[in-house]
Amino acid sequence: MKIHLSPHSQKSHGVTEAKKAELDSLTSQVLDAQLAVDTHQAIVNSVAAKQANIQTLLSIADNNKVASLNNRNVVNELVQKVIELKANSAIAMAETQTANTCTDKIVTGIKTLIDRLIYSAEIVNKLSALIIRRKAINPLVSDNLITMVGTAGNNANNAISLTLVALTTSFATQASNTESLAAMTLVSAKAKHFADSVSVTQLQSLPSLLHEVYNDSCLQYDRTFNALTIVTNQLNLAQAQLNKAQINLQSLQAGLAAANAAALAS
Amino acid sequence: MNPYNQNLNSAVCAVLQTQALTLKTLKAQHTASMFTLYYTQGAKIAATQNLVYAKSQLATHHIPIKQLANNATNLSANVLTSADQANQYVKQAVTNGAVAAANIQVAANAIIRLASDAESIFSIVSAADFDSEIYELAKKMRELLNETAYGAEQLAEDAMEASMKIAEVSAATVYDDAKNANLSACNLFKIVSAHFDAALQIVNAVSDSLTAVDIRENTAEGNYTDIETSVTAALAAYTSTNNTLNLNLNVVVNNVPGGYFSISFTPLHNPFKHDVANVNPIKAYFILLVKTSKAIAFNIIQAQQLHAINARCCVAVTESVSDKVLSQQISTETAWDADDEAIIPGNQYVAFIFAIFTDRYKKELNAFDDFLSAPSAPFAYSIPLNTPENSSIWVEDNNSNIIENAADLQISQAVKFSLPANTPGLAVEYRCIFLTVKKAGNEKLKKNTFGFIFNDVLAEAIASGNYGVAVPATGATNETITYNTAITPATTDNFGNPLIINNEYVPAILAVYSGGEAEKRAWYKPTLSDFYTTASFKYLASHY
Repeated sequence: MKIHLSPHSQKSHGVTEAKKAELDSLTSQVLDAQLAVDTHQAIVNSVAAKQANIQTLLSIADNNKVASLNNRNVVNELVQKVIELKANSAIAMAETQTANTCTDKIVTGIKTLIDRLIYSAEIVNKLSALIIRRKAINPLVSDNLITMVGTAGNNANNAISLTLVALTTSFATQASNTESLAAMTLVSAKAKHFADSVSVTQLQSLPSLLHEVYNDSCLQYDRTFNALTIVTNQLNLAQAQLNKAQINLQSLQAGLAAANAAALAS
Repeated sequence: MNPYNQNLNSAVCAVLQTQALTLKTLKAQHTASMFTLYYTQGAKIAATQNLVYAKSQLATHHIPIKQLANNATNLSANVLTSADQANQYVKQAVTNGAVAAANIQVAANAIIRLASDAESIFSIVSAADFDSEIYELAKKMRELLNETAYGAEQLAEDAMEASMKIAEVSAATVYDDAKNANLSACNLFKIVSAHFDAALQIVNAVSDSLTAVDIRENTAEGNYTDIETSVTAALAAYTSTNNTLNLNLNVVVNNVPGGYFSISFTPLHNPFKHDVANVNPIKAYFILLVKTSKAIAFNIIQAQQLHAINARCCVAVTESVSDKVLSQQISTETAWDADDEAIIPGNQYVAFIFAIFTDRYKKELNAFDDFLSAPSAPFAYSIPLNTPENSSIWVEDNNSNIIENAADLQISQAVKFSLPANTPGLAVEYRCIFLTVKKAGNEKLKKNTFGFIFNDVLAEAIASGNYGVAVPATGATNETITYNTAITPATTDNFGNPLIINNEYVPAILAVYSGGEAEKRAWYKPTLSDFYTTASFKYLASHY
């Protein structure tokens, strides 16, 4: 800045010199304060940009965390369902086995029944033949008895025919039941294999990997969140220092303006 | 100087000035291309790191997860098919069981009717007094049919129970469970497939951007080396001109504490060697330091005036290296410029050689002017700041039993360094910058190698968010001070990328003047530690 020196007496010259020195000192202080403001402004800008960057990273980390939590829940649900399937198929297999024991008993029973029935029917027929032969010799034999043995013969035929039907269907039942048992045993074995493959205890299983991903995403989120906290604190501090430097600059500028005005007025 | 010499001097000045200007322009371009190269290299490093990360995510998570989910889907589909089949068989068995039970009941009824017939026949036979053969046979028939009817009744009961047991088999539940498990597995597969596709897309995108950045880097590097070649050529031209036309006037700045300028030049000679008497036409040489801003205006008259009043800025040349080279050291602390002002660090100066011819030489030519050289290249002195030795920089982990990759272990690392204290009252900031190492130095490879260009100019330009300010240890009383920079999750490398766990970094320390006085900024030259030989460290997982 240029200061006009007044060419008056020695005394006033000395006063002007002092004023000039004061103005120079003030100007220098303003320059220093401006430097401080510029420095702090640069820091604030840089840290604010960094904060925005970390904020973006945090929202990415947050999305990842939400997605991996969802995946973890989905796999947990799957594991739960597979465990249910395994348990229920084992129960169903036991039930089929029980049913199978019953049908085994039926097929043995029906075989015994048909054998006995045929034997008995033979006896009925034999008696029937004997009585009819006796009637031919002795007409006194009751007609009623003749009718009855005839009916018994018919009924025996009927019973055998019905029991044979029952025998056929019983064996069909046993056959389908055996198939059921085989199929259910297979389901149970497959369900167990499936359950084992998604077990958490396996090192490289779906739940263990998806849990690992979730844990990683949590750690990443926490780290980023901490980074944001640190940078936010830095930003607040830098902003406070900038404000202080700005106030200092403003007051020095005001002081310099006043001193200039005074110097020009004298 | 006589008019001829003045003309020569003007010509020399003009030539040197033109060449100096070319050199200056090229150097500015060189710096600009250096920054371009640096930032492109930074982009390449970030892209490479992104690719490594994206690939590792794909390899360690997305690929195995998708495969396992695919397996689970296959297994569940398999179980579902079997469960469906079992359910069908069981349904058939239930139907068959019911039919069989009903048939057995019907048969049992018929057998009971037969048994009752047998009973009636036996009654009549008993009453009618038949012979023993018929009686015995009827009795036997009655007994056999009674037993058979009893067995049939029992069997009918058992068949009913069997039918019940078959109906109790929970095949439908198992089938529903298998359907649910299959739905769940398919749903999971859909989700993880989408994630896999996204991850694959990221790898492709990052790979593409790396290719693009790589091309840009090659261009920037080519441009940088081109300009470097031009700078070298321009400097050679300037040196050659200065050598021939300006006494090879050269100033070396020694930036040591209480630094000095070493000024050397070739003495003037009589252009004709046979004139033995006048082989050395110079009585005395003086060196004058002039502010660069005033160099153009500085002329022989001013030099003569300064010499005439015996001004303290005229430094007489007293040393001589050889017949062909004269040299003089001028301490920055005791030197004065042509304005009779002390040498200020950071200000640019040029040197002039002022030579006084011998009286005999003057008389011979009948020219009584003396000689002033053209200005030297501008130079500046700056006060060096202390920076730690490479061996005094180390990284401390707060946990001595470190398990690598242990994500849940809390480790905090800090860069520490120690150095002699600076001048009391001098405000110096130590910036800790983390550089990604391409290959860490070892016994075979003495120096660290980096994937980017780096120097003090670039270090000074790093934004404040991308370095850590070291904090001096409190209560240090001795002359050596230890500084500490904590590494936090917010710590980044020089380009602003967050540090990557298990990657190698080298801490570089930049000392800068941090005092508030604007004019002193130019006094102190930022000093960078020797990051080529500083030991690298592995960044470990830290949570806090």
